[in-house]
Amino acid sequence: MTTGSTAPSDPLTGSTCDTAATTETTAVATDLTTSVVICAYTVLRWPDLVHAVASVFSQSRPPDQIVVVIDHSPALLQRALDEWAHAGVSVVASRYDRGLSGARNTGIEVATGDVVLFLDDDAVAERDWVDRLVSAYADPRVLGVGGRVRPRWAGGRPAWFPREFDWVVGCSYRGLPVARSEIRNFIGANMSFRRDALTAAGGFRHELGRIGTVPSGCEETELCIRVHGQSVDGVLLYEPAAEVWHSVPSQRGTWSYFRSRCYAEGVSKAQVSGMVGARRGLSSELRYVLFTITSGIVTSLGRVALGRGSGVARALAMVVGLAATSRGYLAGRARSLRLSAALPDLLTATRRERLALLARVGAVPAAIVLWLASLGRIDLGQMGDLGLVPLLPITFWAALAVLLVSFCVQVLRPRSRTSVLVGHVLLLIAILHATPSILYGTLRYSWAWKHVGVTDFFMRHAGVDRSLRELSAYQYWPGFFTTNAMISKLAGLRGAEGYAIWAPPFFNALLLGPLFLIFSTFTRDRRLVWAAIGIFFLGSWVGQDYFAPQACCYFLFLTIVAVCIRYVRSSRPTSRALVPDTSVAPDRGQPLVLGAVVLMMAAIVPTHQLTPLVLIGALVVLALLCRQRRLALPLLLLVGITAAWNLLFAWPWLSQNLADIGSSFGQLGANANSGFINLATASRGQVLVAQMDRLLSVAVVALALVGFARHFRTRREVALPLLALTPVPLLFTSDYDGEMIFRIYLFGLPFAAFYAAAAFLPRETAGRNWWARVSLPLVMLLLVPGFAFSYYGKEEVNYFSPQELQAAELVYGIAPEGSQIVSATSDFPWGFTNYEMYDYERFALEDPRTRQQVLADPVGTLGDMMRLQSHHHSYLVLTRAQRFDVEMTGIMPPGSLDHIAQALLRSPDFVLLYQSPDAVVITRVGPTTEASS
Amino acid sequence: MTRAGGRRSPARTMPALRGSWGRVRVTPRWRLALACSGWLTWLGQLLPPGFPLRVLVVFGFVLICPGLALTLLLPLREAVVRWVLAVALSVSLAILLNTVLTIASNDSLPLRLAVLATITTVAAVAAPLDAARGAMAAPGKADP
Repeated sequence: MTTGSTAPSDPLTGSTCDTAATTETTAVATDLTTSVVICAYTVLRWPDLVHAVASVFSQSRPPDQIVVVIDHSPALLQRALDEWAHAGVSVVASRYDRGLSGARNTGIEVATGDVVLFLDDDAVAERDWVDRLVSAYADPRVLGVGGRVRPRWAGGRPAWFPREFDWVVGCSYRGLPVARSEIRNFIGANMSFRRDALTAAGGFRHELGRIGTVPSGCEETELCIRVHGQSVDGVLLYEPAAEVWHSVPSQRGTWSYFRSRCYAEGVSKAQVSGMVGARRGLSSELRYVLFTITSGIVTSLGRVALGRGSGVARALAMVVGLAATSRGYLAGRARSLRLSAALPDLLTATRRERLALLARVGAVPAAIVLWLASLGRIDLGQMGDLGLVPLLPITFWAALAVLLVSFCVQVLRPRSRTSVLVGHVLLLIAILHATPSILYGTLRYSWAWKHVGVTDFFMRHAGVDRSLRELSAYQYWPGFFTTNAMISKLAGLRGAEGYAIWAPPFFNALLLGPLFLIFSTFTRDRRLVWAAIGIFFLGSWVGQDYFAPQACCYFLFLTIVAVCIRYVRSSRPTSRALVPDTSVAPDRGQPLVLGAVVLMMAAIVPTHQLTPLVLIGALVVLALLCRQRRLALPLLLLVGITAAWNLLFAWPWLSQNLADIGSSFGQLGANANSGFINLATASRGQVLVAQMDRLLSVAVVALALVGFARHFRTRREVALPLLALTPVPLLFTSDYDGEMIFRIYLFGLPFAAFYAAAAFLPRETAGRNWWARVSLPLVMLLLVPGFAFSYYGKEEVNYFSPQELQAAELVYGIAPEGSQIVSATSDFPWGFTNYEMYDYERFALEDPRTRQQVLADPVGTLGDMMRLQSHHHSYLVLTRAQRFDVEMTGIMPPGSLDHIAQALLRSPDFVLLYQSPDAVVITRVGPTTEASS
Repeated sequence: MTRAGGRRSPARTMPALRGSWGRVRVTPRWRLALACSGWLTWLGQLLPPGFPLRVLVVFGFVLICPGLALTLLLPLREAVVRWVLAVALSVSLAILLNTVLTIASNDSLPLRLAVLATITTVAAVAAPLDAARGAMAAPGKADP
């Protein structure tokens, strides 16, 4: 059988069905030898055991071996030996402790056949049972085949007993596929495996499974998951045509047994979930509940309408069974947490072990509660010179502290789950980056509003407009905006502002994947990988995660680097090659991966000016310096695409700005310093913020240098340090509107974070690393205030109050096309709505002389600036965020904007249109009729 | 810094993720859903503008589905690579498509959606049936 003939079959369960195979279930004969194993534990079921063995003897395809395992019952053992020893049946005593799993493992050890079939001692097989099961093994990928188990009720099926719950009595239930299909696990009464697969998996786990009459189970579920997990393409098949009849005594048809068995199944599910993970352990139970049980209840109740009263009882039984199973699962989870080998028993644990337990189980919920409790206690009206920092209550800091300590504990634990680590990082991202999104209710950061405005432009226009003077660069690099325009229109949104609020947590969460891939390529030490990820997010204060092309291209940049170093590399090892990685893909598909890389590169070029240049540098490092020659082709293609775009499409913009680019080319010092605020004129709070962000950056770089020195001694990879340095040469090219130094930090940070983590974990050896246990959480906690000051310290400017929003909406609601909009800076929401219709002036960003003139004579200077001969309407918008911006950067003295507004309002040439504590809108009096027309 | 004589634990290596993260199952039903995702998004246009389900469907399709379909053509062994590339390739495709059409002054929304949906369908159908070359099958069906 091949999956090539598979097709969907069961709309409820999602299992796959081999239609070809169902038509020829027994057509394929194999020469596999078979062993049938029957386990028994009590003489009380002797007649059942006799029938079971007899049914195996009468098979159309007789098995090569029959093994009867007696589980700690000497009387039964003797009786079985007397009955079958002479008939060639291997009758053996269980070699393990009492329990079905031990008995089955004994059977596996005794079995000699290629395929081992299990039949319960109280089940009777149909004549073609062995044949139908074994025929499915014609496909070498098949690791196991299970069959249908039909109930044989001793006293008749109780009317209330739902067929959906036949698994309670160990039988196939309604909801299972009706044709041969892949399946996660079998029912123990009727299943088979390749012996090699069973042996390799280590057999059944003894801590699971029925012991005597104690109704436990799921040992076959756990085994099936383990067997399946050993093979890349192995499958487990359900063959309903291979039938056995399972004896169901009347005492199993009672409510008490039903409830207790459901409860025990829940407990067993919890144990399996603890062993293989909840996702795998419960992968199909959810579907079973959602579809099979739900439809069963509906159907049963529907039968009531047809006059069948038992439908009510069946529906009730399903509800009761589901509740009992859920209760058992919860109890089992709690028990497994307490008794798990990985956890110390609370009753005997030392104080330190109890603390560790607390950190593992309670830290994340505690951090969430603390964080959520903080949100309601933050009064944005009190925001001052240090932005959000002074407003954050102690619970916010406590949430971060608890989370980071827990994260470090998990990172340094030998067997922490990836999902737990991912959860910690996602919560860290949420606390750091979703807090403003939740608190503000309005889009944060004026540049995000600008990009929303550009997106809005492309929602209203079919193409680019190269004649625009305002924000003209976006017409030449429109990729991000046109894509968002399409998404907004497809979703039926008025614009991107609704979802752009969530861009920071979204883009940061996106980075987790490529960061993980990059780091895990350079080390097998998962502690180092996750510590580096933690340090990255704590050190990423630059704030290029808002709704912007840079954030999008940064994700693509890291993804391309990750793919290049993992998949597109030379198969010939070199002395300076990357760390060997067992997960590297086969060579045959590398051209296709290269194609994917080129596709991503091609998307970056029309989206962002700077990222292609950094990517070219990274590929140069990997292709030439690290001798990954296969990357030469994508490097050449990237250079070609970038050059073609810049020369053929973006040249008009580049040529206009060539003078600026040329003037800053080679000015290393000027380019590096242009982005820093002037500490001599900035406000005291902003001086502290600037010092903190510099301190944070220096700390990360210093840690990286220490880590490099420690790590490089044992792992002499060169790619990472070179990738960290790749963006540095950009300092020679341009100041990038004062942001170049920050972008260089941004692009170098992932690789620096790796070495910063290596300062604590320089070697891959495991063991008690006291240095890391103490220093890693300590340093992460110390990074928190650095991040908070650097990232939240300017929120006074980035936050826009509802009044500021109202003022902007008023202006754009009344300003006709061709109006002039004047402001101190561009810090106001909706700053670029319909921006192709307006002209903009920002007097605080003019030269110092003009600013001085505005302050000295607001009415005269702004009167000239807003003269109605140039524009038929002119509006002055002054907002709270602008006031903070000019004051914190020191470009205007405190109180300047208030002074200007008051002066204008005293003049008859200006009229107040809107005033609130956070915003004022003033217009020049009386547009002339001629101008308006 | 491992202290001499300290308790040694198993090597903390991680060529692949633990648990089921490292597995991807590409069943026929799954592929069918992926192949149809673009056209279902098209149907979603019948929903009222800004309706949450419509927003969810659009974001889900544009950001994941075309790239995920393309990854089925790639020899990827790790689920995390597949999902990262699914988003990255989806975003890249959307950017390239929109850039080309915008430069060509074509603002047809149906054309954009149709191209993305077609790419998704073709890639999902054209991908080898053996679950994307190395993607491992994960359990899909079970007894309760």
